[in-house]
Amino acid sequence: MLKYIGKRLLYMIPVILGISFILFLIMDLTPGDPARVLLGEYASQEEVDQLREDMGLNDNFFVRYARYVASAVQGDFGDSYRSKTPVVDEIQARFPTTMKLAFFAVLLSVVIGIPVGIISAVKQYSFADILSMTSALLFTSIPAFWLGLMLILVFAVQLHWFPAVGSDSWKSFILPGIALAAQQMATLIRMTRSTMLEVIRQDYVRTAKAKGATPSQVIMHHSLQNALLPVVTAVGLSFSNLLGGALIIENVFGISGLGSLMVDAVKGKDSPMLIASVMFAALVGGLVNLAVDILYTYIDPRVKSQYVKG
Amino acid sequence: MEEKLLEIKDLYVEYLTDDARVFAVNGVNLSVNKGETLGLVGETGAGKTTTALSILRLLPERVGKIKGGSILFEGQDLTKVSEAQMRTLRGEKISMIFQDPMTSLNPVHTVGEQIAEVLRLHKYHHDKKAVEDRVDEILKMVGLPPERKHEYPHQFSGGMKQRIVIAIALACEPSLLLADEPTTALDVTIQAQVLAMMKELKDKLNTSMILITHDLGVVAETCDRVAIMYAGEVIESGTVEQIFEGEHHHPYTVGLFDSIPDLTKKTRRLNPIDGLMPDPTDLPSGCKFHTRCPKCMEICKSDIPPVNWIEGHDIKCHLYTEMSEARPEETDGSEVQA
Repeated sequence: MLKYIGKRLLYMIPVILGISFILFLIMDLTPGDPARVLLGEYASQEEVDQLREDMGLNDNFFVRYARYVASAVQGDFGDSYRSKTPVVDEIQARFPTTMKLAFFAVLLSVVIGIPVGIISAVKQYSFADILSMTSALLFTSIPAFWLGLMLILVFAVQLHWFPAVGSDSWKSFILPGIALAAQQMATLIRMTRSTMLEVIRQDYVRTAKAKGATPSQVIMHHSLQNALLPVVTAVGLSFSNLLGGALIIENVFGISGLGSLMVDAVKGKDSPMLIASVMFAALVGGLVNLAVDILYTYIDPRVKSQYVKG
Repeated sequence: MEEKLLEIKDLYVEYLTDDARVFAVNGVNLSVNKGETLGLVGETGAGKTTTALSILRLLPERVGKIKGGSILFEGQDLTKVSEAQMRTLRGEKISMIFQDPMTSLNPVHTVGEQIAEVLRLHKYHHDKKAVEDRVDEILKMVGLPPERKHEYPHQFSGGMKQRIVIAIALACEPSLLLADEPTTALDVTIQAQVLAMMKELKDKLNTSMILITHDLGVVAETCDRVAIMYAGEVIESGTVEQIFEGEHHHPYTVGLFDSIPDLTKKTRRLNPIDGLMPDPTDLPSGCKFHTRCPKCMEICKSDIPPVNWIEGHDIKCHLYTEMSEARPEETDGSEVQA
């Protein structure tokens, strides 16, 4: 098992390298001169040329990329063009806010999505099923930013239950969390329902019934664990989506997290900041998916035996 | 005289789907005595499995419904008892071995746990030690090393999985075992082993069994009595000797036996019964076999044949109406009314 985890961690190195290369390339191809950005509109051409020379911007693309990777390996991801401080510091400051938001959204979608999906499957075609399917359809179709705005309008502006912007207390995370979780929750409801429906028609569920197990034992003990396999994968994959979704939601709710940091970096052509923060998000996504895969081995013994062998 | 354990009278089962009403079981009469094995034989779709699932009341929810008749088990009508009461019978008094051992075991639980569950539900409840001891004992009984109880189903071969399914079914020493084609999914050498083991265990525990199969060879080896089903009805029933060696048979039974290849006779072609099983959503009038019957008469197309008593066994066919003898009174429990 440890060997497997080690192997998976090693696999992440080429992934991160690849991402950094693509990002570096894209930032290089986009118009705009970092030296000009740094010095501002009114600097003379000589000053800009001098800075380009000092920053090594005139070197070959591959030389610059190699230099970047070499210093990144030592933990130096460069300084932000805008704030002139190391980008790592800024990311470290912003990251917990986004993580809190993403975790809250995942928690919310799992805690509501899975039980509702189960009820929907067990009571197929009942009123509860129709209601949950209709709301799931609704939530998949609503764009997150619009839902966020509506939530602000109703619960912040009119009812004053939650703050409209900021990230000062736990209360600030409720509305953006809901806005971010809604689509994910709808997906989980539909997915849990369909896998559950499939599982409760399996022969081994009939075997359980033939043993004299009660309906709740049949659902909780025999069906759920099997039905959750694909759902767990979906939750893991959704985590990366949520980090991306946070980009929009953080802007709607004025939260200064990783998402708004990236948006600002794009706007200001702050390449070091953008490359480092996207790489960081990719790293987190990769780690979460590794955690999901490890969790998988605990849910499904068949998967575990594959890994132990390999 | 033997004691009746199970008696099915005039059972009707329907499946209601979105676009059709499937008449799966149409007036089945069966009985099983204590310690006896009844072979339920017929083509795919004859209603054998449906009959067995009706006994356990495990017909597919919302779709399958018992429409009429009674299922008397130890004097109690199973069509009328509550669901909670039914649960106390399932696994404890009546248990079932399903057709496909590959899919009948839960992939995420250890096999020991799956055997233990039925024991916890019915016999030992929270006595962990007693449950574990019994799991070891039952595994040994079906010929598996008890140390392997911590393994998962995917770590066993097909034949071993079927032994585990049998272990689950026999763990509580039920009085009735429903075996739905227990060996169909296994290869021939394993089939013989599993059958021999089932027979031995059944004798040891004095369990009655309904063995569902379409394999007449299996019937000849393991059963005391045979009921042959066609389109949801029992069309002939009697002892193994009467069915295999008797002189008079239902034309369908004759066809069934003729379709077994015989190496001692020089026939170049197989001899299947012409035509197909009738569509269960649209059954023919009169005798349900008349569309395929080589001896079909005018009366067969319009009138449902009576159950005739020929040489001590039942044949539901117009051919034998004139020969029919007076049925002995209901004193001899070893005979079925079909």
